[in-house]
Amino acid sequence: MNNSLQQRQLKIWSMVLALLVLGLLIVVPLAEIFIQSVYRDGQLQWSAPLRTLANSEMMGVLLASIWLGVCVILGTTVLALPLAWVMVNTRLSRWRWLEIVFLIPFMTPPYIGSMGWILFMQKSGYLEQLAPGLAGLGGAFFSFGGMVVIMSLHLYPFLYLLLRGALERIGGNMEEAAAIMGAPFMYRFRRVVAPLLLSAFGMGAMLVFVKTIAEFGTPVTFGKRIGYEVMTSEIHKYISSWPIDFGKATSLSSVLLTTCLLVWYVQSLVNRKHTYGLVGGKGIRRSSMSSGSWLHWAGGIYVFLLLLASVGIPYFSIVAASTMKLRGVGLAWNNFTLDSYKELLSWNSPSMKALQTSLWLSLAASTIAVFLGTWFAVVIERSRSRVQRTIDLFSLLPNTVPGIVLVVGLILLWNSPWMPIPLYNTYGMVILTYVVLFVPYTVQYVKSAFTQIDPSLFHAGQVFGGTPGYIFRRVLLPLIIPGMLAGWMMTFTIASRELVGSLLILPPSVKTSATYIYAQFEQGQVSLGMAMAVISVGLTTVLLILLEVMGSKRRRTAS
Amino acid sequence: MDLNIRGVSKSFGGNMALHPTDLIIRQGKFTTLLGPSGCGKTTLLRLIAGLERPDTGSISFGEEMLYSEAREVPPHRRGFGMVFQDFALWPHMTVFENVAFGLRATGRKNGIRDRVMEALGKVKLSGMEQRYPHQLSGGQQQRVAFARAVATQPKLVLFDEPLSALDAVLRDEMRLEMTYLVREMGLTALYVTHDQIEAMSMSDEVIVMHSGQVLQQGAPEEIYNQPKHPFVARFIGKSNWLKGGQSMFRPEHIRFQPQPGEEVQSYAAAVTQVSYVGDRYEVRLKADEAAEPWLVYCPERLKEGTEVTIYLAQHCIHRLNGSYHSIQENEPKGK
Repeated sequence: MNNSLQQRQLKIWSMVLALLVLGLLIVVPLAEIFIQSVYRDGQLQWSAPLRTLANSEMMGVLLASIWLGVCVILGTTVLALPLAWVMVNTRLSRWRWLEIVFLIPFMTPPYIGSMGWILFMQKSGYLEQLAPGLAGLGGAFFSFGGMVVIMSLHLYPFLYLLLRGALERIGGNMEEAAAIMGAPFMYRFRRVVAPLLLSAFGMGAMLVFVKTIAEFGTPVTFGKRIGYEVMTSEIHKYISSWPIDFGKATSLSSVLLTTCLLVWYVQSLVNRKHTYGLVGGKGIRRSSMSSGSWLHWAGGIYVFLLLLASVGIPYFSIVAASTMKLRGVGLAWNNFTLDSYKELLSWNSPSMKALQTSLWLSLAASTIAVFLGTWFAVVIERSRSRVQRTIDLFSLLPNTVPGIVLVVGLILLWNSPWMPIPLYNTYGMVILTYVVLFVPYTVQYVKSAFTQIDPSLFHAGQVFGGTPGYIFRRVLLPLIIPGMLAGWMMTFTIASRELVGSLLILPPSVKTSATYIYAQFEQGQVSLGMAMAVISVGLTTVLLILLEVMGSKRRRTAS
Repeated sequence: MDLNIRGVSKSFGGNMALHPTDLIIRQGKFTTLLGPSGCGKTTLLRLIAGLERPDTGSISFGEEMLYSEAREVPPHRRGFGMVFQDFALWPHMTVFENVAFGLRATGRKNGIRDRVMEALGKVKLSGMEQRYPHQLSGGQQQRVAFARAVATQPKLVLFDEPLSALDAVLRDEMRLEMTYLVREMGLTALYVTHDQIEAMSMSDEVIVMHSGQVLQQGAPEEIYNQPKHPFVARFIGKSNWLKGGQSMFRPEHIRFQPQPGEEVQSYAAAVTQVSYVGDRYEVRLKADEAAEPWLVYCPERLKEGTEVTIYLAQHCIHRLNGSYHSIQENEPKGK
């Protein structure tokens, strides 16, 4: 009795502490953005953000972001919808490995993908060298349209996965029932397939929108070149280059944050009302009736072209640029060299230092994030009580708000004059930023592992005489360790190539691989920057694919 | 207008799901395909519905050829109704729209409302027509699925294990109700199940399947009393086997006293286990005549270890003919 009372108290204290930590790490920095944007020159000015917005320049930036978001929704739809159809209805669906290949564009950091496209399309770039006749295309590419293409090619896998899932479920019994009830193909499509698909699509479209307006990598590389400014790139500009204007950056951040939260809110409303549990009780039984063989061919060609554009071109450009002796000579075998890699990896070079800095910072951040995230996930349990749901919401916030906004909030908080902990401008600050940005991964992985554990397993542990500590060690821990490992690997890979946090937070004269790539690409040796990109992306992509393969294997054995 | 299946077979990736099969489903009858999971009964149902294409054979309904080498009628032109295992109600449509779907899809304009309300009235869901499927209980969803299948007055209604998603109490209730409705509306029904109680109690005709083959077709009584195949005898009801495995009898035919005027067999046996199930005792016996223990019913408790003599009327012993061996030998592995 006494024992269980102690345990309850421990649990309550753990929850309170979790709330406090989350408050300090995530909620206060975000609140700080709103506070600072209405608190100007030592006094409260409720109209300050509105005034900033009314400034036509700012309004233009907001509209530019929104327009970009809308266009990228269109772009990803055009790419993902046919793909989803092909992958559900043709023989290609049997090639499970394609699932992993289609994640590559999404896993490629957007700034590196954009650099690949720039190298490919720019004047005397690889397109011009490979097909001189298409040189005109390169010029046309450096426009708003090109930016939409790049971002769509980065984000389409996301929409594809949602659409594919919906199509798979609809294509089973839902459509068969309609067929037997006498509905011809078009009628079935109009009355059953399209409405059900639309609910999944609406959700995916809103997520694509949020991801687009929150994205930093493409605007800061490609967008800058064509002079298309969006909110993220403007915020970066006001913080990092002269004349520095923190007030404007903060106001913009608050606008961006509000927009994202608004879309998330609408999305959750729509989600609750118009998404349907399409999961049936039994496994989906696909009819063996197959469509014509020309469809398989057409589908295969489409998949090939899409992969060529979304994986082939950017990666080809990056690898080619990293192995070039002289840029002027272009693509030729006698212009091939691995010198950049040698220089990059030589001891004590600035590049090697940057790489090492990246690795140890990510290692530290991912280790801390795993323990923190696991703690949150265990406290959240099955999110039954209101406090647990609040912890759940807070711990996942960094995934829903734009990274740059959170970074601005962290700067505002830790750089404020009243902050007693002198963390700002140290490595500690960088680690803290990474932890805050990426703690949701561990929370999600561990939570999903945790919710799969039947409570009776713990009850059984108690009945057979296990003390709480013993049950934790022998029952809970072994079952959530795969989730922790996944969270750790994910955090490590994402943190090791994180650009926006590193650009804004790193102490002066310190570089990570991401900022090194960025600096070399902007005004240095492109081949060195691209060699670094190959190494950092190669390393992390291999890790991510490993993770995916591990995960799917586990799912298979678990089911 | 009977459904005629001639030489229909189907394999999935080299795995024979249905061996060449001939069957006749009579109009106005309640026919059940009964068998364990993986026996090919659902495959046969889906072939009839047109959701799968047979490898060989033909399917015709009365004069109309539904499937043959030369001709294939797509599912939406076959004019059947179907109740799915997981109901497959469209989540974005109201109950009314779900039921009206078949009427609208086939281009009917008039009288839709009356027809839908009539179907909903039959399944006692009047007043629920504006609800969405997720606002209904499992039993109510089942009723909507039924109403949807019969609203178009189909020539044949297919049932794909419709009761397996319900809990036990609801299942019994729905079983009686569906039997009643099918009879009352004069429907021709083809029902797939692995539950022998459903099959025996609902059907006019039972078709027992195993490993992609039809083992026996007949009235429920016939299937129970004169099984043609050991699998049928074991799968349906309890069976006690005599030496050699060629003759069997049902537990209820055992007497502890000889009936006068009957030709009886008597066996000496020892009681090995007794379990009380409420209305009787189920007694397991070890008889010298048999390799496997026997199960018999007894009105009073017997002590374990007691030696008893039991009597069995000669006409209650059922001999199976020995031509079945080939079937069990090429039994495929379960899916």
